[in-house]
Amino acid sequence: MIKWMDDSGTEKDIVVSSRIRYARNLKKHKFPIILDKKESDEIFRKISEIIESKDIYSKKFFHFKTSNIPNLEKKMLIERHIISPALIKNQGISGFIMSNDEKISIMINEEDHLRLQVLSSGLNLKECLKKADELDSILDEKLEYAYHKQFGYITACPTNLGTGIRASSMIHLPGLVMTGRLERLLNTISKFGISVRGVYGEGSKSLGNLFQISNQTTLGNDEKTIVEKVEKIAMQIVNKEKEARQYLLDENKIEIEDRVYRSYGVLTNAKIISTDEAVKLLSLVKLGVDLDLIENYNKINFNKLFIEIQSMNIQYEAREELNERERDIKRAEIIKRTFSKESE
Amino acid sequence: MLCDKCHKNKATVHFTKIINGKKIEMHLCKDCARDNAEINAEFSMENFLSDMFGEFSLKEPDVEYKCPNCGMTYEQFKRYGKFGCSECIIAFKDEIEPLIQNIHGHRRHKGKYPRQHTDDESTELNEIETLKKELQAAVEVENYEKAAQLRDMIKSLEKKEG
Ligand SMILES: [Zn+2]
Ligand SMILES: [Zn+2]
Repeated sequence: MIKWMDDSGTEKDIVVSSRIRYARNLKKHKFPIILDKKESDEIFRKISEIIESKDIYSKKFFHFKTSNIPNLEKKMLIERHIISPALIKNQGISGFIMSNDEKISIMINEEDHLRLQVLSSGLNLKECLKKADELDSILDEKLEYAYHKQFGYITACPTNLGTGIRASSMIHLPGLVMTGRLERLLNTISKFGISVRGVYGEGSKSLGNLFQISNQTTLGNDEKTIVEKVEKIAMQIVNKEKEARQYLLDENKIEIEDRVYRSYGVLTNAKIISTDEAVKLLSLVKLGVDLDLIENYNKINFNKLFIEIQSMNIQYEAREELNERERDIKRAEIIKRTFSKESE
Repeated sequence: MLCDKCHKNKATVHFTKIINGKKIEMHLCKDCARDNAEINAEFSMENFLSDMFGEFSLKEPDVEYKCPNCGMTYEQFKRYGKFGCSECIIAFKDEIEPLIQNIHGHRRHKGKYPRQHTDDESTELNEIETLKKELQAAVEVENYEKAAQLRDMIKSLEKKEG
């Protein structure tokens, strides 16, 4: 169950996860937008062979053609942040390789020939960079990457040129949202070339107060500089979130407790609950646990629970397709079970 | 040519703007042009003939550029926003360069490079040095328009680096 989300990384109260992604292409092959099936198979085979022939952190790797994977499983993998919707859109030509602990994956023939990805729980970007860089160098020994001395690694889209790197972190910010401080903070951050988006829902509004920050540009600064900047800004946001939480405790403790306990009451007693409602309430209960307003639930991995209650994961675990009503009932059961197990 | 913004209607308004020697072109349909705050702001102020100027023109698009390796045309690239192969970027270099500057705020890659490129010393050159070489070359062939653009870019970069 969602193996990549373990105990690594720091600031796990606030930072849910970290990710480094490298975009790479092969010099002698057409890019995915005009790629045919035959050539795409050749690319998949080449990359598969390299991964098979090397010992990469002693991990076991699984190789998949996207079209061979059941629909439910594909969507489950998107909810777990392991593959992207674009990979499925390209399923005639795409595939992916994933380590058994889900932390390392390579999407093949998504927007680019290769999208290397290293995932970690918590704030852990430098470690992810180290792993992504090593994996990239291993592949570079056998592949001929598309590269231009001025433009760097040639990617399908000009927005990824240069390093082809995307460093991102998912952050839980209920304090900043509740104090109304988020908007101003996001405005400041965008001036530093960092982009922010809501994880569940659109724009700067986010259902579970979950936001993803990442570097906006990829060309002109080296990998280390880009990653350090994202990490530094993530730390600044974390500190602002801590300040906001302290402010809430100092000035509005009763109101916060009220919201936390109401959410807790609904979550632990609901018989049928939608994803949207569950994500919203879980965010508040997580805040309550982080602030020690609620006891006994410190062992619950809320970051994992956010994913476990998504529709495809529920069906995947149930090993069957469920309609919306059935899913909402299952979701309420999962939440209740998680809470009652951890309070014992 | 299709509208750069909605990619649906025919582009009838062609907008060119030059800021610090970097050319930005926009081809919009009537509706999108009306909704484009940037164009409206540009034209409601009196900065017409200053350094930052814009002009509407109704010229037909230039001859079609095509990547000799994969056959993708520049028009197709603009429509999809994606290259067809590793050589498209060289085929469209003149149009792509200002776009890259616009997106990334830089024109030259810094960082990791593939194993085969280790002996390539030009990766070590910094952006300003490269521009200065280009400037020298432009002056030598008396291309003063290009030289002026390059000089502005060097100036703004030097200012940024302090
Ligand atoms: Zn339009
Ligand atoms: Zn091409």
